[in-house]
Amino acid sequence: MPASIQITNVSKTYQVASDEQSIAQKLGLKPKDRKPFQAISKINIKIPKGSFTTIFGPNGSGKSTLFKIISGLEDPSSGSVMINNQSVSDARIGFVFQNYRDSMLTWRSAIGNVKLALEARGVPENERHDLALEYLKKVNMAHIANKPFYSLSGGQAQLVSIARAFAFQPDVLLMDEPFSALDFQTSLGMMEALLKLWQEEKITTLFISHDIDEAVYLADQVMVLNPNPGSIRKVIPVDFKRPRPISLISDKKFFEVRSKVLEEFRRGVKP
Amino acid sequence: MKRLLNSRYFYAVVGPVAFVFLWGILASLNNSASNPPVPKLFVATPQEVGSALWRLFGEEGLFGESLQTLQRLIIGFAISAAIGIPLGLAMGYFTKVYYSLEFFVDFLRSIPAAAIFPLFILIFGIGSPSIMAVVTYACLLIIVVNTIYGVRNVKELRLMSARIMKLSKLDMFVKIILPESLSYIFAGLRIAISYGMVIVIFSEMFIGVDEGLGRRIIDAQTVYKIDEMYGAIVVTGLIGYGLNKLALFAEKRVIHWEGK
Repeated sequence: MPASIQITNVSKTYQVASDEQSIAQKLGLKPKDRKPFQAISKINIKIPKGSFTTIFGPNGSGKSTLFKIISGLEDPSSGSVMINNQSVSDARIGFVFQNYRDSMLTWRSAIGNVKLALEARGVPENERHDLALEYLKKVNMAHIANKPFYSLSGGQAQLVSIARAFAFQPDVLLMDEPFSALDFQTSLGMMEALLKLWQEEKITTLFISHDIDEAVYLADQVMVLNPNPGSIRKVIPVDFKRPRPISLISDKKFFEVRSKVLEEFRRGVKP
Repeated sequence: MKRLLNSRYFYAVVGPVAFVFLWGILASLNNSASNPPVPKLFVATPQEVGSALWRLFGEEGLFGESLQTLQRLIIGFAISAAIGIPLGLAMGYFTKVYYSLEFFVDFLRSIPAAAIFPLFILIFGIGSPSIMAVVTYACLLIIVVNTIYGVRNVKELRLMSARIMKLSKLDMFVKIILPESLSYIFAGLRIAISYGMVIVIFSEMFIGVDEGLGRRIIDAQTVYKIDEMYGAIVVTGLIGYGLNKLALFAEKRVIHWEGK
């Protein structure tokens, strides 16, 4: 399998004020000394094209920093990220945030939000409506296409933002705890809808999760991170065949993989 | 009956009616006393104010004068919105513009409109144009400051997702920043029009014009026509109330997503 995302030796260090100094900064004083804070250290991984990778790590393991670097919002301090052999600035990135209320356009309808991705892609105006509707159909949200975004339930809103991300036809899809704000029942439905769409579109996906069942159920491989600074602890393959029934979660084999992930996670957190 | 008691319109009427009733009782108690606590000359009953209004609207053309006041307000307000919104957008969006103009905005904000009267009279002469200029001045700063806040308060996450989608600067502005700052802009417009009403009445009282509600109030005051004075004040208040309702209605229609 060709690598879709190639992360080579990526580290990121921020210059932050020390504790006392950051209080000074809040008071409007200029911080005198700044100390470096390393968010991630020497991340090396090749992520196969079309695969689904979940990222599972404790607080301070640099998950968000990694996503910011892959999406081109921030540059790494050292190392490089290539997406389909292009630099990140030339690649197309789909992003689904946990907070759909603040990342989507509340003043537009559901379909209007999907259209934004098509506008960004430069799809001609007369084709946008049908195409956007098609993406909404893929997540079973065609029936709420014309509803204002603010009137949607949490699950519906997040499905629309997933539809928007796919409509952008990204090289890589980044999802930052997209289901964390939803209740259990809703997030079960969301996982199913996401996997169905992902299998149709075959888009390389990175998914930050803080729910171990979710992380194992969705993934081809689970990337467990160490904290302070964030680094890869272990990449654990998950090779249950797809489509996976939700009952898999109570299967003995699932439990074995889950235990392996949990074990690595715990070892990473231990001082 | 129960439906009536649950209707907000019912209660919206109850307050004012009770007020007029109370006013009527106190005024007639005062006026019928052998030794009135407040000199009769300064007290008007609701009936007197009512008949004064009837007279003013009937014979003395108060309706036309109210329209003149309203016109001064609307024109001044419209000019300030036409300048203030683009200016605020530019100041909120371009840091360099903000820092170049920040001084003027904060400097002028602390100068009351009344203090600028002489300057405007000097420029525009005595009359309507001066009053409109004062209204424009007073409304402008409110609108500019609110618009700046609107642009500054656009959610970082929304900008981030637009940046990831590589939206052009223009698209980012038109499709994200402008719609999101509308709620602040509207709040500014609503405060501005109420404040503008205060300013237009005040200016009419002190800048020489022949007609207008403010003129009426000060004229009635100087010759102790207390009933006519309160009549003009009531009309002023009612216009202000109507304008605010209208602004709220427009706001609800334009930014239907707000607060949901």
